[in-house]
Amino acid sequence: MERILIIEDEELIRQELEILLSNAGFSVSCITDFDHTLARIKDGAPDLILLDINLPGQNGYSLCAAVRQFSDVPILFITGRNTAMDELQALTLGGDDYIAKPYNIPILLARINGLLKRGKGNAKADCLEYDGILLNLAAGTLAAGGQAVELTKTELKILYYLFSHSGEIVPRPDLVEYLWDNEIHIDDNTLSVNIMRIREKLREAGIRELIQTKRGMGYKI
Amino acid sequence: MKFTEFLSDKKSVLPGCFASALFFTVLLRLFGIGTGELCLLWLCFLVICGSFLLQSYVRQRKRFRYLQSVMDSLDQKYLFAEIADRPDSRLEALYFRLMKTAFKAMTDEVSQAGRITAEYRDFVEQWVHEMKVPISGIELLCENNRSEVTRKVMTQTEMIAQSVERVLFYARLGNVEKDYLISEVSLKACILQVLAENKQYLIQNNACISAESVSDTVYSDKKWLQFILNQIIINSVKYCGARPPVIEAVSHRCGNHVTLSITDHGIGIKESELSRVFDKGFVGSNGRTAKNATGIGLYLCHRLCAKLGIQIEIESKAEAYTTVLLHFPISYDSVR
Repeated sequence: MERILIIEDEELIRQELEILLSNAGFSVSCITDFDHTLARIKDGAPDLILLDINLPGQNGYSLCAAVRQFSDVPILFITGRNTAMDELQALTLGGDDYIAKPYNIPILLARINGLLKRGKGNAKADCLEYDGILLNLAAGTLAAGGQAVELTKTELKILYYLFSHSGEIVPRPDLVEYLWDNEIHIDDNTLSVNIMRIREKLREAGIRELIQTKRGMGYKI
Repeated sequence: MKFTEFLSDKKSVLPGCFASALFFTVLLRLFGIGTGELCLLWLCFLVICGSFLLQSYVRQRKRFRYLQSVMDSLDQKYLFAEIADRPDSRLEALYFRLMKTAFKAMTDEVSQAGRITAEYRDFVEQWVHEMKVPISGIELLCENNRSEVTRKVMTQTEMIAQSVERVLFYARLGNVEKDYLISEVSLKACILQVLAENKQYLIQNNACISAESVSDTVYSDKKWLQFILNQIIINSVKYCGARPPVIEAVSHRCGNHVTLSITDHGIGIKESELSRVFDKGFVGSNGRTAKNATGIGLYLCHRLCAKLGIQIEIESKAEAYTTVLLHFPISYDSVR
């Protein structure tokens, strides 16, 4: 598990970032006392540092430059300042990336993953299976009992999410948000249409009913 | 200054001269000077006076032409009194002294006003910076505690963030030159970022957006471009009418331009108002019925596009559609 060190003086933001990153599967530590920051960084040896620019008693830029003296650890600047000068300074002083407040969460996570070179391939399986029905991500098909059904990109993503939460009721807003986080920007009605199409395709291929609708709550596989 | 004008200036003096000439004529007559001699005297008198006046006129006109050329050549016309040559008469010197006092008082006022504006702008930057802290805090809290309520809170927070951004960019409008960084920008990445930043707002408004056909890259400032796209997309949602907003973004290369077009099928813009949508403070008939129409969004877009060298165009048919077109010049051909 990769270790992330958060250097941010705003308490609420620091706490919530810690929760967010822990939930995303990282081991998170924070600096709460800003007196011996450099020493703590050396001791902690994190795999990635989230560094705010406005810190009490010191400047994020100079801290970054100091860290670069002894380490190549990826540093992502998280800050309220967003002028071109700030961005340029951050990157020329040794920062690897720069993200301005307010943070967009999916983008923040994507950037962190990018810096840690957590490839997209290794975490995701090529195939998901549930009760004898196989979802082939590479081929974009759903197969059962010798019959296979071709899926559109949207249908594939919907089924991937449902398969990843098999046995659970997935609320519609969660599905819509997941699609939005994956560059599919559809609304609730279009989601219904897509579910209907998936069901039709399954019916035509003779595959049994897969997706259950729980009225007022969501969908379930 | 024409000669006649010059003469009319001297209207207090000339009649006096002629009056004394007449008086002397009478006197000389009484002394017994003949008519012929008197005529000669008059002729000499007129010639001497005339040439003296003419010479005076020419010199004055030359002086004025010089002063006018100095004025014309100056950008900062209030420096006139400092730049022009030393005055060549006492009267002019006094006038110059008055001018200098007036100009200095004015430049002091202008500097003062400039200082106040700069201080205000710094204050706005600082305020925006401070606002971002609680906004980030709320967004993180909502993300970590997903529920129907927090989704609604997120929507409202995104709207706050949109307004705060608009304030910031308005304040920076006078200083764009000092704050941009031109780099290669993927139009699709830009749009995706805008959609991500307004995710809950767009989802709650049942927006459906396709950006599949956007594939070009341009050279521009990513931050400013995102702000412009943000305004356009928010407008499409605000003015969608009864139907939920459906927005299509398409890009294509055309000669030495890349054009990004964003189309919605909302209430459109009346033909009579189309030419005025970029005017500052213009809300139009659509704006009057919508809530929160500031008339500033498109104005800012237009100003920013001008500074970035992007041509912005709007096509629309009332009750049918609105398309915003952004034309980016390509500085050199990239061979792929």
